[in-house]
Amino acid sequence: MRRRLGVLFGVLFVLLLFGLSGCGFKDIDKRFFVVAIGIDQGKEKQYKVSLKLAIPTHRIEPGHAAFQIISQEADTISQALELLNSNVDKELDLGHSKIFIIGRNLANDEILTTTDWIFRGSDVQRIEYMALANPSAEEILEASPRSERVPADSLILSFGHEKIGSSLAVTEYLYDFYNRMFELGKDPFLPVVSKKGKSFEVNQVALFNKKELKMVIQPGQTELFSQLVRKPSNFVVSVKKDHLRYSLLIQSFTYRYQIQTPRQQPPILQMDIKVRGRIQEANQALFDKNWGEIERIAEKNIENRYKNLLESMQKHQIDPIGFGLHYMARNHYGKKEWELWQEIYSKMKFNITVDLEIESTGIIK
Amino acid sequence: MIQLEEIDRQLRELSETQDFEIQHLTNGDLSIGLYFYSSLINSKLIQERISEPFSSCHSYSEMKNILDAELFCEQVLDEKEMIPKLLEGYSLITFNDTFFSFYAPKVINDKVDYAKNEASVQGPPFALTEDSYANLNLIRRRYASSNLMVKEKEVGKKPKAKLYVMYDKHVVKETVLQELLQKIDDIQDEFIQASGQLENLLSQKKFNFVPLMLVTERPDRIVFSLSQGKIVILVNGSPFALIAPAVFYDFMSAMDDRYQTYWIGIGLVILRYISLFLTICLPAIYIAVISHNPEIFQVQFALSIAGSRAPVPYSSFVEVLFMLFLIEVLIEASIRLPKYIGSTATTVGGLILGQAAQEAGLVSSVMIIITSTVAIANFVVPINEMSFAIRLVKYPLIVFATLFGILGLISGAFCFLVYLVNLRSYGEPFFRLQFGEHASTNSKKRISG
Repeated sequence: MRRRLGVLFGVLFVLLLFGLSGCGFKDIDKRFFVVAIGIDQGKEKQYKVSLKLAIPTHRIEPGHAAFQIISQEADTISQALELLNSNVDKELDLGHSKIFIIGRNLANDEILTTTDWIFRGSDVQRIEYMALANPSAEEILEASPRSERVPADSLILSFGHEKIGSSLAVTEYLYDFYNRMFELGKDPFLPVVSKKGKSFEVNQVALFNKKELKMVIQPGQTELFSQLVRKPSNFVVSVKKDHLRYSLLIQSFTYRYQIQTPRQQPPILQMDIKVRGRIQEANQALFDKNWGEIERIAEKNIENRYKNLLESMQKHQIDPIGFGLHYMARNHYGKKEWELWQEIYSKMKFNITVDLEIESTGIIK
Repeated sequence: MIQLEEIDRQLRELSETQDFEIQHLTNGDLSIGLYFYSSLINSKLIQERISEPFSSCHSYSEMKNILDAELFCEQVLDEKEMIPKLLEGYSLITFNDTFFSFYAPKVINDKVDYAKNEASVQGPPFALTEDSYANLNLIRRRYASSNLMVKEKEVGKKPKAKLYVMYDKHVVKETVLQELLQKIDDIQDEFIQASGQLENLLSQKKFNFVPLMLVTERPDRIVFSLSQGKIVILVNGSPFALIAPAVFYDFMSAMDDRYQTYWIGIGLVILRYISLFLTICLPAIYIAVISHNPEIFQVQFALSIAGSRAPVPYSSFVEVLFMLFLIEVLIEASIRLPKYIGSTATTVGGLILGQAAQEAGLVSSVMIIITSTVAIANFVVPINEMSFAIRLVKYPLIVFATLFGILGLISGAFCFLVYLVNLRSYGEPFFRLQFGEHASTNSKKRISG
């Protein structure tokens, strides 16, 4: 009997404990979800940190994304966050932050100092997207397209891989950016988000060496870059020669490359690109023509464009595709290999062959 | 030899109850005495087999021949076995200072009815009855093998309960059988009325969380288990049989799985395991994610949950415990309620209460979905025993999740898993999922010959 009473009291005691949840226990509705973080150069202090907070709503409708933007200037990012936390009535939760946007002004110098906080931060998920904002991160955060259901949804979705056919939008994850920042022979890049009316567009890519912004790839070349980095399928290549104009929808795209260092000759990067697709648009009937010829035209076109892109990156001595890593993984010369590679890369010739196969012209006759 | 005075005294004692009948028949030449419980005896049988032949008898030897020739009639040689026999449905016949017992029972609880607890779509629809003889009949008719052994046992204090232990002597594991029989002999105290009660008495540990023997009412499951080398115990008066040793998969499988095609059977089993996971973990996951790790959701969903939880002032675990308490009460009430009121309880509880609780701002709308998922998924487990046990498992996990979030949930689930893995059902490892289940007893031997 006494034992049973003991058990009963034990149970009651445990039940009482439930009443003492304390302040560490924060339910989902007692938190403010930060969906996007933006960092700009401050006017008075070093940084201006802007946070896009999602306001939870019971009903989710297009065009009714409720959000709030708070910003604070401070000399360090963590200090700014501390100050921001005291401005709002709920706990700031960075766990759902999906995108980290760096203002264009900050990118010109010392990208590593700016990103140091997010590299160390334990409460931000490593799968956060990163981007460069043009002109400022705060303006990008403020943009809210009319179709938006959830705050920053369109921003997140235009980076996510769920969006089909986004051959223009190159995306970059935090973990990958981190990796590229510290890996010799593979340089970091960030997509550039520019403001356009109430919305924004993502069609440029900023390339860095490990320290600063080196070049920005413009829309004509972004898709080529995206193909080399992400190997997507389903993108369009337009070809024009004399009177013939047509567009190809590429359905399979693979490439492999080899770095050859013959003696007494400049090093060669031999790249074989294999493309398969079907014709999506043309200004004349193509079915009865010699497909081989049509393919030749496109192959030449693609070759030249890749060559241009690769050579301009070579000119800036940046290597986002990771040729250097590839080379150093296969040729080991101890500590000297990095210098060796830099020398090779500056002298390198690009030899690109494209093997294009048209699978169908889309219509039978 | 038999002591007449002792018998006289016992019979006098028995006649104190109203339904004990004493009849003296005479046909002019002879007279016999008949003693029986009128409530246990089929009087028509006595009339046909005893009193009619008796009326045309003229000598004692003639009467003795008639009784000797009768099928269920034998001479009583020990006065001690008299009363148990009377209580089993024998009638006692005395003449010329010799005693005969004649088996003429009246059995009315042997009607075969549809299976109510373990319904099946394609399997045989009928369940066991309350009468052990009828059950033995049902089983032996299906399991037409001379290897099927039946052992009768009596256990408990007075009144004793009768058990029938059945097994296939070629495939049963001898050690398991001996252990089980020993355990049955060790039972002393209680009066056994139900199979589950017997299971509790037979179980090795005092505080068991999950059942280690399977309780079933389906003859086809019993026969299948017998063919696997398992031991079946029938309790007289209970329409449920006890099967040992049992593995976890037995509780998760319906007999229908075997009657369906292979992939459908597998699919159904997977469906049940998913439901099992949901019913155990969902409330704990809700608490852990809502209060500790909201970053697990998609952001869109997190915001919608936060929105629906906004009017709820209490912490998530209060909400969960409140709602689960309601649903448990509802389940318990609908089991005990008479059938006519049962549907009212479900309507009131399920529809009105859930809706109203949400509107009153006591619980969030997601919690309503979770509660109903937990309740429905719980009943997917085909064996009621396990279904009941599973109902309890989620509460410790809720405590873990409340205190330590997802990590707590994982460690709690791990503890439960460790507990299950440690269990043995009569020497056999208990926690077997589908794979390797057929090797649980030595049924491999059976296949190879």
